[in-house]
Amino acid sequence: MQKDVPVAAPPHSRRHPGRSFAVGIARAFAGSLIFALPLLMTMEMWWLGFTMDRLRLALLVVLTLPVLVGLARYIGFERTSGWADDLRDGLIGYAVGFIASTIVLVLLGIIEAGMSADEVIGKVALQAVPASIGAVLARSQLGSERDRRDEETQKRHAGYFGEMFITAVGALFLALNLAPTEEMVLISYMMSGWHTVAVALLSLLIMHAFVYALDFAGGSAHPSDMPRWRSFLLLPVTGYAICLVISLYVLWSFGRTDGTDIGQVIKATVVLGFPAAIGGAAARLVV
Amino acid sequence: MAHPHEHQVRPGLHLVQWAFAILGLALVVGSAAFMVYRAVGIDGGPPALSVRWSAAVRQRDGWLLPFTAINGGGEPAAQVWIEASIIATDGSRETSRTVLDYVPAHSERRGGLVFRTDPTAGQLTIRALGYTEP
Repeated sequence: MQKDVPVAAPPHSRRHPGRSFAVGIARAFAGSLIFALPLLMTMEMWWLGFTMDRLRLALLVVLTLPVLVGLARYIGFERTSGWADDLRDGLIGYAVGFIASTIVLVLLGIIEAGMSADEVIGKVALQAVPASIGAVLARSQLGSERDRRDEETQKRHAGYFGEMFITAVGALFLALNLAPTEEMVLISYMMSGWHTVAVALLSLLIMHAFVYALDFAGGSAHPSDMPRWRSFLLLPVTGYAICLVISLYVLWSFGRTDGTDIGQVIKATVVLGFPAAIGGAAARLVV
Repeated sequence: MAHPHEHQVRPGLHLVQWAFAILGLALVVGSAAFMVYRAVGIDGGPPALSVRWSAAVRQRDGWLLPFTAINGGGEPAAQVWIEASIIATDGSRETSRTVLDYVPAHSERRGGLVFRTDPTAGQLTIRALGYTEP
């Protein structure tokens, strides 16, 4: 954090680097709790911890790492200057998320004696995914005004790839929050084909509205090297496509697509794609 | 990471930061590797359910028979029906059953069955009836 340009470093942290790091870790714990508590207190998440296909859970854990490093790159809880710092901060975020999840699950009696290592590690590893995202986001959410300004600078430099990455993380986070529940599949059973098309169109419209709003809010949605009309058409469509892919990935991870008709899978993907699109679009405003 | 302001960071702090990071790396690699190991491990196979009972407890309206269901298989079981029967010395039979939401692989879950007669007075049998895949 002190390796940044000297003018941007908060004066107090230059005097007390150790204290600043401790504050950062405390913030990370707070962030992971805020983001993960709804899931830590969701019984389907406990069950998924031991019912989920082990390889899919391993893949989810491994994929979390690049997500955390990327988040640290654009907004993390430490002011970072290079990829090594981002990697370090992403890993610290995972450690914090893992520890926070363990503490809460033990405190709530969700992990107790008589449970196999398989069950315990599965439960914690799954919860650590949203918790570690929360830990890395903590600085952005709970940071001071000064931090926010720095972050704006960094976000503006995020560019097209960065925008899409932040959209994907927002979509992943919301999808993770909703996909564990039975309702996602139940809703898709209740919806007709027309409902599905309507939800897809509304999701797209919301993505578009957010891009439009961002442009007015002085956000970074509009890459300067792209014609205005193109960015207004292209960004929402690309963003929504990313949200759908994330939705499908999360549904597959949780075994919701197994032995299911392709039509039902598409419907469930669109249903989960709706909150994912809101998460993805809002991420660029909120994050 | 050569940088003109490197000297401002105390070496001790650097160590603490990297210690946290290495812990994070160990947790990512460790939990992912464990899941892969469990997926390809030799102790897989379908749920293998066994049930053990503990000492029956006298209650106001009958007897409570606590039990522990153990899944020795490599896959989790959902909706595990547990049934116990007592055949008394006079030949009369009493059956009680309950259902456990989940018994994860290599884990155990506890429950209890209620009887009107003393379970230890007759011949007691307890077993899992079946399960569904989660």
